[in-house]
Amino acid sequence: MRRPSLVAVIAITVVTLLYAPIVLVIINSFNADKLLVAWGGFTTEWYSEALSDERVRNAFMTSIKVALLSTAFSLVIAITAAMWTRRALAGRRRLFDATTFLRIILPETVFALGLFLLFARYDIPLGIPAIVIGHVVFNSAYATIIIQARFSTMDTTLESAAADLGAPPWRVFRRVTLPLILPAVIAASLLVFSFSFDDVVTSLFLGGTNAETLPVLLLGMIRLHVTPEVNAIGVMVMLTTTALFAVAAGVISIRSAAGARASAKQGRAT
Amino acid sequence: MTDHGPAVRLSGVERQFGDAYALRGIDLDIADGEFFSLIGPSGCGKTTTLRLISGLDNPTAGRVEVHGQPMMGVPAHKRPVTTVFQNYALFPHLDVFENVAFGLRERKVPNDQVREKVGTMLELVNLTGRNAARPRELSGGQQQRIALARSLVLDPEVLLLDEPLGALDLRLRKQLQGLLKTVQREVGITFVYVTHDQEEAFSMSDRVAVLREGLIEQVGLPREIYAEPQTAFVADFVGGANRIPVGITDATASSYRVDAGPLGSWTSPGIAGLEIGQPATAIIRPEAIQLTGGDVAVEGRVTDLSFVGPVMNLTVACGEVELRCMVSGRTAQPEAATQFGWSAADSWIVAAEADETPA
Repeated sequence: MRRPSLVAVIAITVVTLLYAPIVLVIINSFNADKLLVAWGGFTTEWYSEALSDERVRNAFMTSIKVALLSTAFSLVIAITAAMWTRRALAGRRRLFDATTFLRIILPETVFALGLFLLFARYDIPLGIPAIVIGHVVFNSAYATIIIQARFSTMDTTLESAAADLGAPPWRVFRRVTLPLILPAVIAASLLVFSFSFDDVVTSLFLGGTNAETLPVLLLGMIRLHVTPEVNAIGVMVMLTTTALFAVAAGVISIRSAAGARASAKQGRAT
Repeated sequence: MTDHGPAVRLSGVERQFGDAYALRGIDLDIADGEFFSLIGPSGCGKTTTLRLISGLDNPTAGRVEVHGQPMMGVPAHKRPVTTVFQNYALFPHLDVFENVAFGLRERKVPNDQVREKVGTMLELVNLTGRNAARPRELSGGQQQRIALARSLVLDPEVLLLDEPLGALDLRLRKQLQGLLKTVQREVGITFVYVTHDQEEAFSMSDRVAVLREGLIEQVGLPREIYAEPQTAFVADFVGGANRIPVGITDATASSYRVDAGPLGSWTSPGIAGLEIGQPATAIIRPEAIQLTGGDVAVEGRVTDLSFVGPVMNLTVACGEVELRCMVSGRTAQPEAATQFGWSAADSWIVAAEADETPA
């Protein structure tokens, strides 16, 4: 047998280190041993325990709401901003891009704290709306960069052609611009949804006592001790995000295969 | 269609970008049903002119009218004008049928009529049976025909074409030139055609305007522009004319006596209004120069020659002056001494350009 090369050994080690914790979480979520010191036999008890725990269910719903809302707002801001930057003067565009990058580069703790103090100063209550605002700060920046990248590969000729053929601005956007940037919009939604869904820092600062997202709840739970229930919750979170990506990937490939049909129907429907 | 004036009227149209002018004041009437071409070197303002007519851009001064209707403040999507773009600009996410149907959908035309109109139009441009194909699956020539169908199906009052054949090879160009001409005759719509290829413009157009640095240099029938260019620039642009600096020694109502130093002197027609002593340029087409001499005969030598099929391109020199000529059938030797000349009636006198000095 051939001796494995050094590169292969390094690669396998790295991959193992990256994925071992995840595998461990999955295995332990089915571990009947309550103290998780040894394999105590297979059980799904922790799952039913997690699912019947009202706090977990509430936190899960809070996370979903926050992620959906912040994704929606981020996309609207990002698409609008990216469309503006296409036509903006170079100097203004550079200035705007700087503000976008700042939202990504600055430590999350800094603006989470900033927002916290701002809200406190004006007596704005903490909770889901506050967390959503916090998440939009960085999520809209990521989405803007992704959608700008898509726009940079296309000029305005197609939109000019649509206007020339009688489409008013809103219809140009709906029938030409949006279909053309859709892959980027889907990619951006996935990314920012998952950023929002597993965010801890901002959610912790801005959640107050009213709203607790799933990652914040998990953090609280493991402070006491790691229970098998935590593992089960972790696995369920993993499944949710993986399923989301699978669906989106499917949507993208179906669209590119039958995009003409879909767009045509869209046109016919109106 | 209304009948209150020419299909397109531009009056004092200017377009300024910052400090730079793309158009410096264009006055132009394009008649209903005319095949009109705008030609000129790149940057002369011909594409800008189209954009001002289509409404994709607005003039900084002057008026644009379509059939007497002022177009000021009318956005592109409300103008009775459509455009065939240089790189087709077909919608990649729509199939052929939906590309052509795009504008009809905006007008909320019922489905069965859409099918009928799109079908008729695709037949007109000889492209049937590819309804479900995406634009990228088609050749350049086919894409161009879809772009044409997409614009024509809306039955515009004026169709603008921005170098529509620029990206195609020569054979396909010839073929599509024929198609464009046929289609235009069949639908009777005013075509405003932009190209940098004067041959293309001449072979298809009823009238041609030559643009230069944002101004119209000359408007007229193709034949007029070729035979009686009003400036040396026009003469040069439409067929690579020889320009010989001359001095005017005598002027009559219809002709000028000119002196070209070592090349001799002769009498020939020219533009109106030149005066004795004024620096001028004699225009002589390469095909007007013969090696057997003519009214004006000169001793010179061949400095360059190339064989291009039916004719031979020669450069002949007499002293400092080099002239290009096109001769058929004859063999010529490089560096050989030769006699050449032209018929005085075949030269044409225009005012000298600012950068030219008289002989």
